[in-house]
Amino acid sequence: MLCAACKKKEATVHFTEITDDKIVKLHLCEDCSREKGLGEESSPEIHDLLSSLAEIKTLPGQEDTRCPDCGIGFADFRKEGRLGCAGCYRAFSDGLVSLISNIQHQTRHTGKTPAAFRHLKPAPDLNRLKADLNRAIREEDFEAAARLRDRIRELKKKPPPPPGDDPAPPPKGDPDGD
Amino acid sequence: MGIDSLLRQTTEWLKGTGPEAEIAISSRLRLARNIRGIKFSRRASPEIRRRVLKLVGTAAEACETLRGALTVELEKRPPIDRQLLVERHLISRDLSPETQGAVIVGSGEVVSLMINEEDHLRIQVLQSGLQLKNCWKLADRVDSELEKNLKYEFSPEYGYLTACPTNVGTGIRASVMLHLPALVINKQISQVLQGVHKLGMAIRGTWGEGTQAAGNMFQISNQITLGKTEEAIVSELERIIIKIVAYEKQARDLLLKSSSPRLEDRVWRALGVLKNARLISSEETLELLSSLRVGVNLGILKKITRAAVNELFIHTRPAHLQKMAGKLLTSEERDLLRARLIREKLAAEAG
Repeated sequence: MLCAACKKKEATVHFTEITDDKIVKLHLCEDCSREKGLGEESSPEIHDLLSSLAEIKTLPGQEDTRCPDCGIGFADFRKEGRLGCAGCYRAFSDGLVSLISNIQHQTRHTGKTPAAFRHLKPAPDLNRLKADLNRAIREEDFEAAARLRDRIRELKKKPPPPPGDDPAPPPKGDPDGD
Repeated sequence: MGIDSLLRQTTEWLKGTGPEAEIAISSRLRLARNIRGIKFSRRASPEIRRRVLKLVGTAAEACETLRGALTVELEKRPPIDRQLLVERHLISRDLSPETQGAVIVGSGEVVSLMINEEDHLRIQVLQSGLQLKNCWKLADRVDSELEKNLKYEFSPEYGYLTACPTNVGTGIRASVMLHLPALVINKQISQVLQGVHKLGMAIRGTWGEGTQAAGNMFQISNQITLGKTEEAIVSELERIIIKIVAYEKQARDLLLKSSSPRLEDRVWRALGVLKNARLISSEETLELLSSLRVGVNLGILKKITRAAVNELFIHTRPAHLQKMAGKLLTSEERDLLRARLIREKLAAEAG
């Protein structure tokens, strides 16, 4: 079978698209399938990202922002959907925050932290850990449950952060009005 | 150990064992990581990418979980080797020799490290059946071992920083490959797929090199990587998979009850063609193997093992055939060899 796109090479990638009730079959050669972005890694996440990127409304001048570390521009990122280096997360933070919350629905990491960063980590949300613990118990994943229980214990041992709903009067002479 | 040694072994995820292996072929989980202070692979120079390769290689040597691993640098291998690795799901199609792409494959092909794809490092674990939690435990362990010798890009706010914001946070992508022939026959599949999509998971039909939905194979994976723990992401996906597996089982029962002769006919015809064909294309093979797999799982075919069928899915792919032949083959030569390989395998299974 010849490739439906170039009609020259042998079709080795058989693509079946299912939209609602229609099934469309497409037979392509490897090169054409790559060109069309139908490769294995052309995951739905990337399509969502690229469409979110197309929708971003940029502020005047934002398109021209460049990352001081790797030199890519916000416009490059918009086109390719890929950042150049870790510094881009800072350089493009204005545009990225809304994009990330758009595609991830969240903007704060709560998962694994490398050992080297554990001392920096903002206090994990105790309620979330407890919810994870309950889930682990429900699913009889006792190994995870034990790990979560230990983390919760460890957190409880540490001095608690200043409680936000403490009825105690604010400390005297604190000029911090923020 | 060379890349050709892979051909002689059955990759772990094709063994047809593990929970729900009738329907859930394999579980895969990967973690995306980048090394601190180095541009992401696409933007780095070849020299820097070679340095990344060296850094990861050295860190991997110190890992207990990667003892006896095989390193393959795509730059140094012919294109057919790359295709072989793609067919075995050890690398993605985006890993390229032009960007100094490489892979370190652990024994049994359970753990692999993909280097210089869009992220410096992707830790991957592949297992047979529905074993997402085990995949995470193992990936977590490899990651913690590597982290002793690699400094990762990480921000307390965004987590592990990745080239694409769709991976940021945990960098985790968990997926399960499901064989859903009964739901396809019943035409309930699009409903199921829509439901899965609504629950925030991604679905694509897949076999081997982007063969989407051929052979009634579907891949379901998490989309969100930020704001949840790895455990939560994995359990959510697993819960959904368990439901789909139950739907498929129901659909199979119904098919057996309502149209058993038709189903049996389909299975036996598939076996008939596979046992006798002298020329067979890759697409026809996938469709017939799918029917064969149904027959094995429903006990219609008693002498053929699930592992044998799973293996045929992979061994009949173009790069595997050419590696086995030891040379590049034309399309017709491949169809000829493919047909012979299937006949031999099925004859051996029948005893």
